[in-house]
Amino acid sequence: MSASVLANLLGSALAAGQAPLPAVDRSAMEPQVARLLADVEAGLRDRIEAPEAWLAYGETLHAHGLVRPAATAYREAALRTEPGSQLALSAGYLLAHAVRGSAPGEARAALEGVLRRHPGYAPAHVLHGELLEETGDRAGAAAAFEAALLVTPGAPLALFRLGQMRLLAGNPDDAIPLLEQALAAEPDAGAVRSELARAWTLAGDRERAGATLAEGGDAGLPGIEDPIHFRMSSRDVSSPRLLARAREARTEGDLETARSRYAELSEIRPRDAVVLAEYGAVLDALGQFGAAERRLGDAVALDPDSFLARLALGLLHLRAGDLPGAEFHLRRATAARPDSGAAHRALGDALLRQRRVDEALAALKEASRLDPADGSARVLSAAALAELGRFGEAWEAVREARDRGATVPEPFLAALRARSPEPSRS
Amino acid sequence: MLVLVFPLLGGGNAAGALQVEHAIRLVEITGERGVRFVHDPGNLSGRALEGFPLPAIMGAGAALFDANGDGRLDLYLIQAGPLPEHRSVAGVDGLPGNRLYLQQPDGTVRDASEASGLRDSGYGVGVAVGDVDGDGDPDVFVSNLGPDALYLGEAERFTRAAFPETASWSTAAAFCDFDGDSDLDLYVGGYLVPEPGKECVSASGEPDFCSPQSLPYVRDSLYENRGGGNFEDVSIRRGIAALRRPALGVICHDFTGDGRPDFYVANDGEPNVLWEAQPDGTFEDVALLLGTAMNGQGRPEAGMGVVLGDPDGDLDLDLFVTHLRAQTNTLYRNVGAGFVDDTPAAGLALPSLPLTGFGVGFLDIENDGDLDLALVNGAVAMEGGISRTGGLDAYAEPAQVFTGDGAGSFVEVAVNGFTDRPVVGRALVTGDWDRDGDLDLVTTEVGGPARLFENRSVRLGGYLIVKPREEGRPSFGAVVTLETNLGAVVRPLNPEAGYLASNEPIVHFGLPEGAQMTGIRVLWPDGTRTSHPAPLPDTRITLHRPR
Repeated sequence: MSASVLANLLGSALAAGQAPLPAVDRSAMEPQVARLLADVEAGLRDRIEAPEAWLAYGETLHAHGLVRPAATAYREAALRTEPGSQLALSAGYLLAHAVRGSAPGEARAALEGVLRRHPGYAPAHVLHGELLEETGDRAGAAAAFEAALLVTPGAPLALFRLGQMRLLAGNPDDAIPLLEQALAAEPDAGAVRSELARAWTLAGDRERAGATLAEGGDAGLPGIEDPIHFRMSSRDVSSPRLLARAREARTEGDLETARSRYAELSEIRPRDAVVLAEYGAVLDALGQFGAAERRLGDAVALDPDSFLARLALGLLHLRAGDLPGAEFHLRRATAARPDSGAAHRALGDALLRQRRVDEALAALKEASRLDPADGSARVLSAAALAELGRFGEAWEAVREARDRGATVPEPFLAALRARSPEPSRS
Repeated sequence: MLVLVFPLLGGGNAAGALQVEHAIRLVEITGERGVRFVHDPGNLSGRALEGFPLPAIMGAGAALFDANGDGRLDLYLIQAGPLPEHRSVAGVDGLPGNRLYLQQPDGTVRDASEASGLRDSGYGVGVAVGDVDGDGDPDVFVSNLGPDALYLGEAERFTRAAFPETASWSTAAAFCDFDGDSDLDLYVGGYLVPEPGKECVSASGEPDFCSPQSLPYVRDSLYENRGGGNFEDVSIRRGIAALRRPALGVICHDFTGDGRPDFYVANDGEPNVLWEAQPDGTFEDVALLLGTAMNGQGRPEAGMGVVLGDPDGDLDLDLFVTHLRAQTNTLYRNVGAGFVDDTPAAGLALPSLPLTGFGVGFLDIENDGDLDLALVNGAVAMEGGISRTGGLDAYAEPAQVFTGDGAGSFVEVAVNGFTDRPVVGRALVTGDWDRDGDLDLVTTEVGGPARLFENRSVRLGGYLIVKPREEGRPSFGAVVTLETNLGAVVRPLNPEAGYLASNEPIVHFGLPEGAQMTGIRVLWPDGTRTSHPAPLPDTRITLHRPR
């Protein structure tokens, strides 16, 4: 194929030969970006007939969101490449990416040119299929995804897209095995999981659909798991997997490992209140109170109703002796999760220490009601009842606490005995 | 011969040329009717941008309703003004405030903002209108960047009522009786926590508005009406607080057919949510299960406006959501057990890729019985590497009109005076302003005028306007089916449809030539069904839900 034929194929408006560089106004750019572009542009000027220099310039522009001039650079690269070469493939494929929104016809033509020379390049088949699908040509799209699977059997993205075509065609039963294969290959891909769930829904099995989503855990946030995003990302580990590992370490009591995984996770998901709250709780457990308070503070700034962050902050303030601060957070925790016995118990503790005994007693009763096995709430209740002079009830609370395996501090018992003899067990 | 080949000015059509649809005429009458409103986003000096605070590019809404009970439609426009962080300088008295224009018998308007009490001076975002205190007068909820406001209407006066403390940045709002106790409750979308002074750059290192993903999200809020317009925030108890995503559009409708209204929420860059009402009164997100969370490629998109309608005429309701440039707008077609992304097959994918869609309406523009689609567009980020001297105009994009064939396919057409003028479009509101039986349009712009367009299209048929009512107020969420000798047509009553807008609470049907009405059926929000005899054509009728 001659260069001019390729140019026509790519829809280039520019004639072959030396072309002006695409216009890029760098005046408002950050200095380092402007400098980088200027350097790459200077390199191109030195080698204006070298296709790889045009390709590098195009990729640099593209990476900085300058899609229109990047497309121009790719066209220029294509004009200068040997048909069938690796460079021609790259130029055509990247051009198709750059213009798929603004000039879909040109994108399709570029890809078809690439595929004639490189029919074994699966990503081009997939992109071709996506472009065809956007024009409403579902049959053509399905054929393109099938072609990608012929080239690379089991390619998850192609399976995923082909499954979607089957779904769009109203054949969820055909879609399900394809999507299951895709999910088996990319278990963290929330987008695939959600499509599989949708396929089950459309097949009339909503229970299975719900189970499919539930199996993904936090993959219910599929924006993070977009398979395309992962393909383009340099990260080699998905955040749900990291989160699962961090939780596993936390559950097993391996707090150092948990800390390091949450630290990594908080870099990836800096606005995730759940991650920050759990990270803060781990830091708290490690005794790193300042760091814990910062993470937990970030978590409640993002999610004022975060139960975990409120509870952890409340306990942190309680330990530090900041009783009004503890009460504030613990009240928010009980509002967020009225069914949490632990939160009510901690709130009762904070109130008791402020000598607001009646309120404390109410919170502790609620804690005991919610968590009948909780002996600690009974210990605190005993203290509150003793404060109120209700010694008989205090001893009853002590008994209940002991029955639940809780340790009652000996100084408290001594003080209580001094006011009221301990009733016999009989 | 109604069509000619006409190049689209401003670019928006991927093929580069559109057919001018001469049957459709949308004539701007803003000035001649006396509407003089220019949105002030708070960061403009002329057309030049002074900084890139995100609230300034999100625009504001508008409402069409009869504010004073004189039978004529009035126009309420939401204003922004100085950003909250600059308000101590501006002083409350100097704030521009929202405007209420009352339509006069001659079709002109009178500015009644002050006298009506509706001149809310918060940094305005969206609006919802409904009778929350059951007195037969419309009440108005205004979502703001800052405290939201509820105004109770009585006769021609509106009085600010107590309302719970709300999210720092509220957006779309929908009135709806979700708990079936006969009064209107309220769903309010929460967007982001604004960070004044935060500076962002685009991928090319150029200053621009921040992405919503660069700011913390806030949760949506569900308010239960305890009677008389006394609202209680029940978001935590009802399960709404379980998610935090940046909401920009909301629709209330019984998507699952169980007689309990659900909420569909379009989120900006995050999966959309479909809150399904549970028997115990809580809500669960089933958007992933039903296929309305992400587009057909499994990608979450930047949801802005959302509408509900039956463009394919199969008597169930589909969803359409507008999105960012390089994403398609998305048509979620109802297939019974769920939804599928049918955008490309409907002809709506490629035309939307170069544009950022916001306000949207499903409407039968020429009264031919088929649903058409009108959209306003406007970018939220500047193209990189171009001169920045254009200021706000660098974000301008043309509006779009698509004519529907009634079977689910659309063709984009050029409409002179509407689609050939790039603006930074935001809300699109529909209503029969001149009471002539077709739907007119109001559009809003960032830093530009609100525009009133009279629909002077060639009438391809007659019309019927239905006002479903219950408890003395419009029955939001009712679905009306009109039966004719040519088949049945279904239309919902969702005034909250679109972007930050409150449309006139009517159900409009175009009646194609030869159509003879044979009856009407109404599915009321509580699941009750009623049948009604055929009305006369070219009339406005009111249907009441039986007690």
